[in-house]
This record gives sequence, C-alpha cells and structure tokens, in this order.
Amino acid sequence: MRNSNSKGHELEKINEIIDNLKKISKEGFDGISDNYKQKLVYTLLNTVRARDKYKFIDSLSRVMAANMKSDKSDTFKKLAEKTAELQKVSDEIFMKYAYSIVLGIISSKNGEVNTTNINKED
Amino acid sequence: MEIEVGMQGDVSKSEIGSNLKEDTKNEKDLSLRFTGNWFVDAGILGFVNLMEEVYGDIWKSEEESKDKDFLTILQNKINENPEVIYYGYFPFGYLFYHSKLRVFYEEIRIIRKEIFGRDGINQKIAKINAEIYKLNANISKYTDEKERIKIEKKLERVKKKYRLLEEKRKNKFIEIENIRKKFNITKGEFVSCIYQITNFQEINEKKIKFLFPDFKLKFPASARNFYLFNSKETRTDPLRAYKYLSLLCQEKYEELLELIKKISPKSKKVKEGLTYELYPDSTINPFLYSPNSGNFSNLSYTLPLSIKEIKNTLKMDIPIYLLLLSFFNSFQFIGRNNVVFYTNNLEICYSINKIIRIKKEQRGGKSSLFQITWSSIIDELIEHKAKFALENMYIIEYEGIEQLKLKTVEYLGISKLQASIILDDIIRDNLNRNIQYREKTKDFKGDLWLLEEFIKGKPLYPIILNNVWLKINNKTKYFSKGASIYSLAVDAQIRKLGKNSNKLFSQDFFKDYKWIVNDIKREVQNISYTNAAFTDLFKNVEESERKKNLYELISALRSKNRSVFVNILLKILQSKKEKNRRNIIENYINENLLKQDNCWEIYALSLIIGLINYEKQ
Repeated sequence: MRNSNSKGHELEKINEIIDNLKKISKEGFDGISDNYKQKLVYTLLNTVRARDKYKFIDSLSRVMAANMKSDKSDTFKKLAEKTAELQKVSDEIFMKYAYSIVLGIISSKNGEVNTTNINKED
Repeated sequence: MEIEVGMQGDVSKSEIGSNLKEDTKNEKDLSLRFTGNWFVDAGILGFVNLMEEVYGDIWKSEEESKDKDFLTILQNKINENPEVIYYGYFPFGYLFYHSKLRVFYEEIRIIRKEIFGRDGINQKIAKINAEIYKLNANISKYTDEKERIKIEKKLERVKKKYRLLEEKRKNKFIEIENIRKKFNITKGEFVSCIYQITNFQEINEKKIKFLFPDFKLKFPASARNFYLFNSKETRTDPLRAYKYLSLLCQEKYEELLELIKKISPKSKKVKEGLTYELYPDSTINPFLYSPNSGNFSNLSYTLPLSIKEIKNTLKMDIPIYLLLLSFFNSFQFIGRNNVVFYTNNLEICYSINKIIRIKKEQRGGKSSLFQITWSSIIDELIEHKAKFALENMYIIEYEGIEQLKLKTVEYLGISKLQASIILDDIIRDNLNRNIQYREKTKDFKGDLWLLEEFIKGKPLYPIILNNVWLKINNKTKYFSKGASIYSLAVDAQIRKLGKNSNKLFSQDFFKDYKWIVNDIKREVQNISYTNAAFTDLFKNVEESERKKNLYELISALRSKNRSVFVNILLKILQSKKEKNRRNIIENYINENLLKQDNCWEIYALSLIIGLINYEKQ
C-alpha cells in the first residue's frame, strides 16, 4: 500500500514538472518566428527519437544562450536550469520532459521577436 | 456399519415419519428461498425446474392456479402439503423425467413443433397456398403465350412443393401416432394417474406400471447413477425405484435397508449398511467429495457430511436428497457447456434461467447463444430494477463429465464494477456489438462480442486495436466508431482505477461505482472532441499522406513505442496550420499521452480512430 502511494506521489511530481516545463518553454518561445521554431522542433524531435539527451540539451541550450540578453532571459534561465537536470533522469522520464518542452514550443505564439539573435547564434 | 446403526438409533422410524408433520404444525417456514450457498441454491432451482418440466402444464391448468407463475403454484402446493410434494410428486417426477416415457413425450413435442412451430410445416404450407393463389390470379392477366407458359410452369413447381409438404405433414402425424402406440396412454389417463400420487404411501402398483410401460431409467452423464438404480432389480421396475427414492427423501433408513434386502438380498449394502444414502458423495453429485480422490481428484469443499449434518447446518425443511438429485436440472446446455446463471434471489434466478431457456428454444442455433443469454439477463434485471442481482451473479459452467470427473468447471463472477457499467443503457448499447478482431476464414468467424468480453473482465483495448488494424488494411468492413470509443473509454477508466477488473472481492468491494458511469461518459466526450479536431486537421491533406501518417501511427502503437508515437504526432502537428485544432490535440497529448503511463495506448488509439473515421466520410 505504501509502495503504491509513493509511486502515485512520484507520478504526480513528474506530471507537475511536465506542466511546468511546457509552461516555461511556451513562455520562452512566445513571439519567436514560426519558421525558426519549426526547424528547432524538428531537430529536437529527432534527438528525442534517438534518445540523445546530450544533443537535445545542446540544441536547446544554444537557443536559450542566444536569448539570455533579451526580455526572456529570466524564463530561459529557468528553462536552462530544468534542462540541465534532464541528464540525470531515466530515458522514459527524459522522453516525457523533452516532449513537454517541444509541446510548449509548438503551442507558443507566432512572431518575429529576437530572430536576429537566434539566427546569429545558430 | 456402526455409524449407520447410530444414525438409525438417532432417528427412529416413527420420528422420521412425523418430523415434517410436526414442523408444519409448528408453522415452520416452508417457503422456497435461496440460502446464499450456490450449490444448495442450484439444487433448489433444479427442483423447481424439474417439477415445472413434469407438472407445469397440468398444474397451470388447474382452476385455482390460473394466471399464476409456476414458482407461486409450487410454493402454494408445498404450503398445503409438503409431504405429498417432497415424498410423492418429487420421486415420481424424477423417475418420469429420467424414464423412457419422457423421451417419448419429448419426441412428440419436437415433432409437433416441426409442424406447428415458427417456420414449421403449417406455416410453409400457408405461404405456398398464398403463392398458388397469386400465381393463379396472374395467369389470367397475361395474354402473351410465352409469359403464360412460364407462370404455368412455376405454378406446377409450387404445387409439387405443396404436395410434398402435405405428404411430410401426414408422415409427421403418423410418426406421432406410432410413438403414442408405444406407451398407449392418453393425456387424460396420465393426469389422472398423477393425481393419485397424493396418496404416495400407497401408490398403486398397477397404475405406476401402466404409466411407465417398458420402464428403464435413463440417466444422462450429468446425473450420476445410484447403485440401486443401476441394479437390474430397480432399473426396470418403476415401483421399486419409486419406493426407494421416496424412502430416501423421507430419510427412513431402516425401511430403506429393508427394501434393499428384499430387492437384492446379496447386495453389499445388506452386509455393510447404507453408504451414500447417509453420506452423499460424488456418486450422487460430482461436485461433492470423491471417495476415490486418489484416482479422480475432484475438488471438494469438505469431507462428506452426513445428511443429518447437512440438514442441521442448512436448517432447511426440504429433503437434502431432493436438492442433490435435482441439482443438474438447474443447468442448461449453452454453446458447448452446461451453464447456470446464479444470483442470490430465487425469483430472479428462476426467471432469468427460464427466459434464457425459452429464447434458446425460439432461436435455435440461429444466433450466438451467449449473446441471447446476456441480453436476456440484462433485460430481465433492468425490468426488475435489480442491480444487486447482477452484481452478485455467478456463472457456473462445466463442459461435461468424463470418467467420473467434471470437465473444465468454471466459476465466473460479474464484479460490482462491471455490473455498474453495463446497467447504463448508452454504454451497454455501444458495447452490445460484435467486433471483428481476427481475419475471417472458412472455419473461423474471427469476431467477438464486446459485452461478453467485458463481463468476463477482459480488456477491450486489444480487440479494438486489432479491429482498427484490420480496417486500415481493408481486411474487414466492420468498424464502429461508437463501439470503439466507448470500449476504449471504459477500458481507460478501469485502468485508471488500477483494478484488474475481475477481482470479485478486492479492497473496494463495498464501494459504489455510480460515479464511474459519469466518468466514462465524460471521457467519451473528451475523446470524441479531440477525435473530431484530429479529423479536421486532415481535411485538405492528400489521401496518400493521410494514409502514410495513419500507418506510421498505428505501427508505433502496435510496437508499444510511446516515444515514437508522440514524435510522429508532434511532427504531424508541426506541419499543420490550424492553431485552434492543434491546441486541442496538444493538450490531449500532454494530459493523456505523456501523463498517463497506464493507459496512454488507449488514448493513442482513440486518436487514430479519428483518421479512420475520416476515411469513412
């Protein structure tokens, strides 16, 4: 009984992180050009499919680093902290977290903000 | 031997005889009612069935019994005079049921059904008559010679068919006459003999021998053989068999032993005393303890108890042997098995089993018997508003008895959860479908009835997945969006409960599952809404691309690869521009595919169904 309780608790925690990651990544990518996001999403999806945590974190970090100076710096800082933790988690949980970040990016609003910065970094 | 003497000492001859009378005087409860023990209750149900089979028509035609159901009639008769029913009518009815005479009656009944029944000879003749009349009327209308000749030829063919049917009907009546000649009793004579049973202690030898001409007890494998019934002396002598059985029910053991001595003086029982007459075992009923358990390992609850012990425990005013012998009359042959649908209320249990028997007879082998049974059960229970009966229903079935052993016995219970769900009209209607789950071949239909699988506590997801796979590959025409979505929503909710769904006495046995029906309906709404959004996303997409996506998604799902499934889905979404619809799917992925570890596959399949539905449109 205690076991199933702790399992349930763990799942709740994971689900909370999923929501949180989706929210932060949505906030971070709101207003960024759709074309760029599309390219990034494809890259990220391919890295998750290959279960390549390192490449996923690397691709995402590049984008975030490019935006650290913008008004989104706080959000990206938060996302960067969370992303760094992805290295420690299991493949199954990594898959969940990574997809929630991608979902956040996909559901973010379209726009032209900061694309120059991003493009330069890229 | 000592035990038997002890038993006889305990219950003296006069005591046994007066037991029941005194009980009646003390206003003991004589009502037939279930005890909660399925084995005993199956005996009670079997007793009612057996009595109805033999005396049903006769008693129902009595003035005071008009418009009453058989259970009430039997109950009234027991209240009036229990001894006559238990020691007179029952032994006689039991012997009649297992005698050649009933075989004759049954043969006549079947032939009469062939003549007068639905789609019987009479109906066919009436149809042909109408056709002849129509053709005759048509001939005069045609002036064209060719057409007229054509109709005349057809008329000739139909008339020939008519003559053949007339001949067939005549032969059937002759058949009935020939069977009647074998026992040479009119119905009136039979009924008048039966009424003489009221004086069961002085049963008329002449009459009983007249009733059972060419008497030979014929036991089916399901009803086990008594030693005495098997002996030449009783097997062919109805009066001896009757006396033996009556004394056994009266528990007059001394007289029983005397009878055995008289019938068969060399019998082992004369030297060693009574055996299963006092301690019923698997000789009487294979569900009981087997004395040869070394050889035949029948499972039993306990070592054999004596009749007295059983009676004391059950505190019933009904002869125990009456229950043990009638036991198999509660079962009916459905599909390949002998089945009894048991619920802890005699009235409901009796009416359910009766309806199933009637429907089974009406439909013959035309449709799935299991489907008939379940729809009958549910209809009956809904009419009675007896949710508790379904919640407490067990199905006991066995394939047969082979070499003194029960073959494939199954005890199946409907859990409270399943009962709550199928009592809802909408959910039940949607699950009440046959679904193709394997490819159809010459000998294999490849379909399953969803409701049956659900009642058995099996998951519906694999069936729907296979059906969808067949549909995508054009290997089945049959696909029902409603049935699929309801099945998946039900499965998802059950998985969320973390139940194996077939545990009868789990921790939440006493929980009420009323709310689950609402949850399922909400889930159906959620799935349908997302489904429609997903369908819309493919509105202007080329057919080849849609099919490619469909194959990719179903393949990922079949290989249970959540990561690949979500990956493909996100790539599809990324390429679509309809923001609102995309948002709906995005939320669905987040909530149901990423967060639900137990049932993500169910939600994934629900989404795929949206693309199949598109195909249909």
